[in-house]
Amino acid sequence: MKAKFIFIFLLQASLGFSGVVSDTIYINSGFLVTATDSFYVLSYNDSPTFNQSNYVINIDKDDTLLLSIKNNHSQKHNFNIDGISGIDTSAILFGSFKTISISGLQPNAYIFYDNYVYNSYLGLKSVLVVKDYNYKHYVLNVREFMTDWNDKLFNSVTPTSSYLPNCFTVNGKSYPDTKTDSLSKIVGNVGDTIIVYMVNSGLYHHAMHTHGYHILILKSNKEPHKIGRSKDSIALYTDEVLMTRVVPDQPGMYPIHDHNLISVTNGGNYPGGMITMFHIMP
Amino acid sequence: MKRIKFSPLFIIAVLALSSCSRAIVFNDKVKDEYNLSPNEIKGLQFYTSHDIMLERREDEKKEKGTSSSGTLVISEKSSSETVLIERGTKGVCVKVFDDNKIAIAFEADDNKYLVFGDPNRIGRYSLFAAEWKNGKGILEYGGQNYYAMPGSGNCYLKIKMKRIKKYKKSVKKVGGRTV
Repeated sequence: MKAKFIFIFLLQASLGFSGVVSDTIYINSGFLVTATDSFYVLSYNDSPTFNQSNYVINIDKDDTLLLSIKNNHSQKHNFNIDGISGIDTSAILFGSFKTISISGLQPNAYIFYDNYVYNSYLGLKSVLVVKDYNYKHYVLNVREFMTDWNDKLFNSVTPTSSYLPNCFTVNGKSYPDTKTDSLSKIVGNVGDTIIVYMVNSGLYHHAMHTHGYHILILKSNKEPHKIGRSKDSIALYTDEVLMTRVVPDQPGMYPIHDHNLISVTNGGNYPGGMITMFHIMP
Repeated sequence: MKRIKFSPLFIIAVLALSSCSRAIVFNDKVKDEYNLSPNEIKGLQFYTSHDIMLERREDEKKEKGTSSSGTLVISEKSSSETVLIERGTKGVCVKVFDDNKIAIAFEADDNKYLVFGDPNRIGRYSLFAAEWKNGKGILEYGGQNYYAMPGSGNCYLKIKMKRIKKYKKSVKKVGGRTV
């Protein structure tokens, strides 16, 4: 009997070190609203209520993730994680859910998505962060839309026109809404170490530019030759995830934005779109 | 010393662009931020974000008769009417309802209006219909029932907003005061 208690204690202690994290994400549909546009999107959220910003899953290295995916959308969906094989990718029907268990992930950021191209285009592409550090971190998930495509998909019509995006977002919001968005606005103090994951979940490539500070590239899932470079302009390819580190050396408010001019507009008006801010205090 | 010259045309263009108003999505955020009263909403110029096409068909009427040569003649009469409200069409609010809905008239007749609303607070005032089926909406316009054709359901309201900042600077040199 005593041995049994010791075994259970040791089992719980070992689980306690590694940790089992239970999380639930909901596949919701709704309308993304920027200052100048509103259009149909899909989103991964942490509640059944639609939120235009995708939910980011955070776990620590060695954690086991028990993830439930609930489908609140009227069509079937599947669930995939980039670079991870062996998970159940079968369809999740409307109103149903599935639970998957993931463990042994290396510290990094992984894109999870629905592999039907229009579902991931509409927004079903977010990030699972596995961390092995105790710094503050941010995920800047950039994505562009062609609102005409979204209108067509809302009416169950397959878009046939060329892809010419006219709406640009960071974590589901466009500037100036990003200015007050706690997910996108990078807040810290001089000398802090801040980890910034830059993720491109859109169909276009982007070129992120930082004012005020250079950032050091720590990891890239697409272009490992970038690792170790300290830059203020970084190419961010479709489906690329960059793990970067910034240690601000001066206080101030400085923008981070796509260097492509069309991407920093809302409805053709500058400034807007893919702009967010550093807000660094002394 | 190098002097930069700007042509008068360039200066006019810059001034004109800087004073442009921009179309924004009309929603509760705007309504609440600027504390817009029903009367102020009625004073706004609204614009449609997408085309709206309304269609109605009169029931077919069958008439029978005979011609002078004794032929049985069956004639069928039907008519259809289409109302097209193109993207960017100007409209005026003629009624404000309690449940986050407003009536917008695009014609001179105040009774010819469409209802737009955001009862679930999704962030935009969309075209409202009694029922949407296969992309088609059934709604009333000018006292008659119409079908809002597929694509019309994408339409929401925009308004134009212009920010004017006035800055007044005064400098006063104080001469001092002696005992």
